Amino acid sequence: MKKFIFLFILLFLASCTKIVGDKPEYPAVAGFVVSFADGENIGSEENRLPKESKYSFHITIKAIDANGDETENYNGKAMIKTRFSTLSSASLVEITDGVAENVVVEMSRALGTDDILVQGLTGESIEQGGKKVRIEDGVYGVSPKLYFPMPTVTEIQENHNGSAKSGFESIYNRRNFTVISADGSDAAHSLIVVAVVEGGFYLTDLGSPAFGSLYLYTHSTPYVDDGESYQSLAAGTILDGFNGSIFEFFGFTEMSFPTFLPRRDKDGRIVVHPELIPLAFDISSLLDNGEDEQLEAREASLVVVENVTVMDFDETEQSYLDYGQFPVQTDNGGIIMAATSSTVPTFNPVENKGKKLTSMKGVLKQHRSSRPSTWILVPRDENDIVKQDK
Amino acid sequence: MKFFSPVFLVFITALFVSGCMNGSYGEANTSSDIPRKLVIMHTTDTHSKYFPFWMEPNMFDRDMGLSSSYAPCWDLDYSGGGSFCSGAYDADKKLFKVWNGSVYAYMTEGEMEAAGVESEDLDRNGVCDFQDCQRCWDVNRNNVCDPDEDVDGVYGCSTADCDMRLNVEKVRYCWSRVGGFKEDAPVETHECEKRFDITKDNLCGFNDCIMMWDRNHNFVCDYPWNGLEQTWNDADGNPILDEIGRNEARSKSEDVNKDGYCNLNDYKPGLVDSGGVARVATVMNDIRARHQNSSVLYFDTGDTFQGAPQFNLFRGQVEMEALRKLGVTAMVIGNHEFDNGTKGLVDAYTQFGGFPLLAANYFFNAENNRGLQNQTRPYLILTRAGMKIGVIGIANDSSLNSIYKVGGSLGFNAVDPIDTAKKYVKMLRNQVDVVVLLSHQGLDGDYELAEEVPGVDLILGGHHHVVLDPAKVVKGPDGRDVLIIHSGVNFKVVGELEIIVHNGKITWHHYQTHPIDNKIEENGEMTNLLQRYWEGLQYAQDLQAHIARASATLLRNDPAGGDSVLGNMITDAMTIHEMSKSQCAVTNSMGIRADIPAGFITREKLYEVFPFENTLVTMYMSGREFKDMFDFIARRSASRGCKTQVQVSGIHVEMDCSPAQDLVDKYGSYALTKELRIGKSVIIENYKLVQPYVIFKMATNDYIADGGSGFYMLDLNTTKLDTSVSLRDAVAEFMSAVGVIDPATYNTGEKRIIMRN
Repeated sequence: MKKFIFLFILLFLASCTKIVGDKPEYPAVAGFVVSFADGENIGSEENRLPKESKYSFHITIKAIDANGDETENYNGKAMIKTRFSTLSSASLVEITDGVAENVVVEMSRALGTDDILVQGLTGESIEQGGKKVRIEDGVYGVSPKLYFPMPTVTEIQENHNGSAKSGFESIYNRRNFTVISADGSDAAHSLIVVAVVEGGFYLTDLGSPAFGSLYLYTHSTPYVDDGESYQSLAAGTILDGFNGSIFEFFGFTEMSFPTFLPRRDKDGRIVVHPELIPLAFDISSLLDNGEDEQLEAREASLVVVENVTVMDFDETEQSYLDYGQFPVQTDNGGIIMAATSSTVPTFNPVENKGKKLTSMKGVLKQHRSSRPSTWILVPRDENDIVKQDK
Repeated sequence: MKFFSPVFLVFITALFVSGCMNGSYGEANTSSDIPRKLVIMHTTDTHSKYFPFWMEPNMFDRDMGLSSSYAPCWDLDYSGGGSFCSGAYDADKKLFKVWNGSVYAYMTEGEMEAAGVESEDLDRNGVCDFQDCQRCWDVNRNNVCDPDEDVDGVYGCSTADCDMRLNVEKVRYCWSRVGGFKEDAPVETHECEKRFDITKDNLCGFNDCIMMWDRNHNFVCDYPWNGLEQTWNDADGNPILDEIGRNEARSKSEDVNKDGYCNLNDYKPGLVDSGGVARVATVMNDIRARHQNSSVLYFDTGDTFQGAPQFNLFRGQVEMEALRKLGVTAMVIGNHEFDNGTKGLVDAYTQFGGFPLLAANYFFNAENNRGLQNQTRPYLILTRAGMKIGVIGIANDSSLNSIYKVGGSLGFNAVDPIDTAKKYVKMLRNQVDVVVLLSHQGLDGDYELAEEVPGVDLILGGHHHVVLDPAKVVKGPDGRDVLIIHSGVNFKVVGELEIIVHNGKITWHHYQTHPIDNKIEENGEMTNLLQRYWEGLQYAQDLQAHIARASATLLRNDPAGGDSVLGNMITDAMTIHEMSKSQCAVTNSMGIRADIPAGFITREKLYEVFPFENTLVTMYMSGREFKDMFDFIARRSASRGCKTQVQVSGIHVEMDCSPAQDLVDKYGSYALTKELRIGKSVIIENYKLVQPYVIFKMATNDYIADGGSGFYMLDLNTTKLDTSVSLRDAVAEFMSAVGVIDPATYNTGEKRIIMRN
């Protein structure tokens, strides 16, 4: 019988060993709980925080063990990271006996939804690519979500660093957003598709005449699902909202790979109002005077140049061969590139060298390396080009 | 003894059982309330590009990702696309403006150097822009635009000045800086100012322009190819015979075209030395080292086959062996995995792969799946970082070329991806902490999976050759945020995704791409593994042999969506080849996979243009068959941005992607052929077939002749003759006979294909 008991105890111990043995990689401390101070306003999906240039929060970090219980068995440094916003306060925090209380976290450039990550450090680092990289110890914690305000098209397009000419230092770069209209509602009545091109579309916030338009890059021709079949997205479609990543593509602000929601009527049909597309804004004088900042305000919107001449150009240049771009010039010397190959293939730029156009309408793009102008006009169809002899 | 009492035995037994139960179930349950981190490395659509290749850093391509070092090129510190201009020069303050993470600081040049910060504003004009990229115009490297560096005299010093120096046709501009414009006069040594004789050969020649081949700027031709010994030479000119030396020489040789000399022919203007699985191995090892206390997984989402000569020669062996060496956790099957048939995949995988191969949406036929059923599985459950991770493979179903022919001719039928995903996610969701889909459905397919399948946390996608950076977040049907990432093509980048999982959801993520280029050291072990394949390739293919020369870039696409220069040349070659002499030719645009840059055209380049082993086929076609075919092409083109899906010779065609509704109703097709002429014969006039019975001999390729890409009408034709002549070889023969390929010859102004939108 003693042998029997001994065998039982052995079996029991073996089963216990299995429990431990299954989790060899678990540190004694399994994670952090990151919480905000009582009463701290972190916003909500429905009620986002008011717009501020800088936000300040107080967090408490507590170490927990594999059972989720608080533990004092953690001493060392941890790193604080934000996902999108800029961390303006110290990024390293000392955790003593498993706790760091009342840690101030300041965040600027804060828009959209974000959170705070706390990751433990081993104290060791390795060198990679000439830089020292801190080694994480495998203990992590994430705060509850913070709900900052969502941007409008205008806020994305406007440059906040005093260099509207370049448009490169936008705080919105490489960020995921749901965009709202100028009137501040998520279900915007004022976002309208003004042009659809291969690989994307242009929209304008009717409430914002300047800095109110945006290009959305969709990769393939944009379409909508009407419930039974797919159909092309039409100019004049009203959008209830859209979401994607903002990127400054060589000076041209775009939202990449967006998802968007067309407005539907009570019968489920997509609402299209081409008559609401704003009139084209004449940029001839802006080109004449090199008013890049004002041109930036019209980026992605519908514009027109009047009394222009197709300049002589080298048709073996890559900009023409690859992208169909050629220069046109106003009577007063302002130059803009035109790109007609994908939208108006019947217009042959080579045959039209030296010819005068009464007007050319289209959406305004920018590409920083384009020469002789970084501004590019993309007519939507044949009707956007009016020849003088017509 | 009380010890022997039944109560005690029950107690012991209960303890034992409880211990077992904890061991069995505790892992999945306890993990959910603790935040856990996973690091996932991702590659996709690597397309047999396992050796480095020259890539055009096309600014409009999305397959490098928006954070890559190539967009924009002046972003020296990879700070993230064009986000920050590091070290912009403030002329008023005479200081550099440096972003320290929260505010701008102004620094002197010395302070910047001490802080280890490099200014990206190389020309000190206050902005970081394209002029800061290479500054190849700055011959004397004094950061000043000297008058004689403004070669074209138009916009100051710019990249336009570099292009001119590099352009063989405009070589006079380079030489004439010293002696004025002497277009055809030979340049004498005495006319050459010393500072222009950069190569110290007492000549002001083309090599003095910028010596782009001299990667380390030591004015030495490092490791030239020794043709006799079939190896490289060391600095003293002696052949390098040991393996380690050869590996080093291969990675550092400046004699790229292996003609025995270092010169401008080794430099490909504007191209970047990109990719290479040995560099990928280095990057992955670095990621593993950085996250040594986290669990690191590596997933590949398919199309690892096809796209470089190694696949044609070794039939998938290199790809499988290298992926295994990289430590791939699992891979989903892409459409190109079947380019050598099911047997080709099974053979390569069973001999050299062996890692988990996933495909949940393939329904296998018992008889003819060549054992693939035994090698694949629908899903995996991994235990990492104290979590269970369910990984489901949603393989490609839309591009499997031969499935239509006989149901399941590949040995399986692909079933609906959404239904499949729903079934397996439902099965796994309660057993695991995270559900990951490995998908080769393409971007649109991934959106549908995310929006329609409840319970998915993460989709790693492929097929469309794009980078989604930052990761796309889509709301799933159960309200869950679904992350979607795509990580490019051809090993141009490696994706790194960090996620924190807490209470069964991804609560935090960070995605970044690592560009793979010649800044990265090659991993020695991987280089050694590849060495024998590399040498085998050189021996078998003579890949660097010059076939012809292109006087300017030969583009495979036309900006207007119609016929292209390269397409016209290829189809012309098809109509005049001795074995396929025909009145007209048609080939699919997607079968032409790369542009040909100006300069010498090597056999290797032709493999990039024609990665598929296609042959020339002839057949006799009636007017009615031509109408069927071009109406189909019009529909297919309409669905792809109204870009023609074929290239032609001997044919003039106008296709209407959006005809009037009455025409749609009349002809029963939403896109139509408006005009079609073969030679001088009008076949279709104003949408109407006017000559249904006239017959023409047409050359095409075996892929579409057998009904690939939906050309079913060609598969039904009974007059087909497969010449067995390789399309690649036929075009090589044609180019070789022409010698210098001038794009103007194939772009005469009269369009062969007009697309109407």
